[in-house]
Amino acid sequence: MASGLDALDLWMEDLMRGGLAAVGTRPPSFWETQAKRMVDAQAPGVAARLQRLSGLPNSSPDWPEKLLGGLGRLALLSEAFRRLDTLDEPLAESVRAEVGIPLSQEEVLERGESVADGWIVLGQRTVDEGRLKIRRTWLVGDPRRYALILQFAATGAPFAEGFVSGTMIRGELAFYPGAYPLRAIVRSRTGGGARAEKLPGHGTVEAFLDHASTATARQPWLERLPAVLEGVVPVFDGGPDGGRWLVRDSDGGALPFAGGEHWTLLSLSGARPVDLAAEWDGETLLPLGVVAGGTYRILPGDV
Amino acid sequence: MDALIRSAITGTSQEAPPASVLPTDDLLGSAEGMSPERDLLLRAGMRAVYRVAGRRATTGVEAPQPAPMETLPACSAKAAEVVRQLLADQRDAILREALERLRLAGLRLPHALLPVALDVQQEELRPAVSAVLGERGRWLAGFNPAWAWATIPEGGTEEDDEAAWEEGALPERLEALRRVRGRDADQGLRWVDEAWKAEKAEARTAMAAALETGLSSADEPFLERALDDRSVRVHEAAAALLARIPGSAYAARAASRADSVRRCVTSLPRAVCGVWLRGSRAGEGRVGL
Repeated sequence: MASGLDALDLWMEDLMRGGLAAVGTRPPSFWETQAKRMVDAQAPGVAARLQRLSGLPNSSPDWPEKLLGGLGRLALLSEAFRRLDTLDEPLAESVRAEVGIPLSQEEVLERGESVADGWIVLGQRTVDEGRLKIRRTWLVGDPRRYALILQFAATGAPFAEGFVSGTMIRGELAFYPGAYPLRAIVRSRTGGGARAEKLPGHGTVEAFLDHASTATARQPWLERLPAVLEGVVPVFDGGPDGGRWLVRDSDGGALPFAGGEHWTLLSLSGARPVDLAAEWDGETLLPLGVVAGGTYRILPGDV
Repeated sequence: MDALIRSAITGTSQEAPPASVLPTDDLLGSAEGMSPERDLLLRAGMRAVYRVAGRRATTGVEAPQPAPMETLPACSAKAAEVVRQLLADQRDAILREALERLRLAGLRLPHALLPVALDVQQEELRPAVSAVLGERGRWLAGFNPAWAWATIPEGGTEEDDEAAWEEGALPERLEALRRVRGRDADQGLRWVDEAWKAEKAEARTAMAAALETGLSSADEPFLERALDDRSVRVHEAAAALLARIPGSAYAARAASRADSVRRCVTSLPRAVCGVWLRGSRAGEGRVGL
């Protein structure tokens, strides 16, 4: 594995010598080949990162900066992996997980922190990756303990375990060990089904960003975090360029939504405060669900 | 664009990475024994994390004017699901009737359904959609130019409709009539009532049919009179609408007729048998046929 990461470092340094401008003209196979090498080197986490980066060239005006940031974080990961024995154990666990060293469910149940609570299902996002679909289910316990359940299924097959967005499940989660434990598995379910009439989260955008900042400082390779904002107002700021979509708190702090239109969300709120659940990728919010008038509704991510 | 990114874009072979300027650069310690490319990558990575962690809220975003409170209750989730399906399948005739029924029942569409309803492309359906949008729907339509048809008409439009009604050709007149019926059904009925006698049968048929928009029991007396129209098509158009007004005398008559047919049908075997027997006994073979 270490030799695989050495090869990755050389490859990235080559990119830097030639310049990112040249990368913009490379065919997809350029990235696929390197990603495949990482899979062969038992570093599927790195391979997945490369695949995500491959979509960046020419995708936005500031793509070189984004790509540089992504490659840079990958370089930090290989650097950290090389110095694993100098890291705190939780951070070392995170680095291993990010590189893609698997942890069996038994190990998670044995070593991971267990938390029993009533967990509200904030929402779900399913990604289709060819033959495989991956579902992210976000949960929140009290007070503001977030969890991510990752599920995998063959395309066309159902996921093994069901979660109903907007309802509460009672039970115990086992968290994967790490510097900012987020991913978890369900150790036991004791009941639930009650509908959530509000979502516990942050009252202001700045409070949420503080929380996101702390999480990023503890685990710098976090790709996304759940964002739960209480009493916020979705805003569509119309304009000649198609306008921009944001969510605004009562202090006037705002965050942008991911591309696309969010008419359902705007309609449900009527510019009155709602509780919003979304995925935060460090730049934009991707809506998952909303509680308006005491009722939870699933939001289409990209309309 | 700063020097770090410029160096990364053109390549370190062309432009050496710049000296340290960012606070995160100090975290790297000595760059000794590290290639300039590796140094550039690690600094860029730290800066990316630094940026994400240091993200601040966007400011200067105006809070929009909240939507007015609704005056009507929303229809049931079940009814909303039916409407959603009809919209998706473009079942226009049934959809129009479903929307009319919601309006007659004093209901509106639930908020989650409004974007789909506002996206309706068939112009002839729009008055019926407009009548069940509620306050939220009209408010929402104001944000999207494609939905301008559903916003509260601006001043002048009512006069435009009146002019179209007074002076336009039949299609324009009918369009104006449907719009007015969506806004103020009584006004539309008065227009039709006043013009009625002077119109040809074709126009009378179309106008009677246009009363479908905004149909209510207030239209019943007029439609009852239209039943006696010398044109069969006008009669049919009026009858079709009367049958859809809950509690109308026409609907009651139709129901009682249907009921008597049902009673007749229930007791048919013996009755038919008797008639047939009586008929054949009297030598009237036709009855049996």
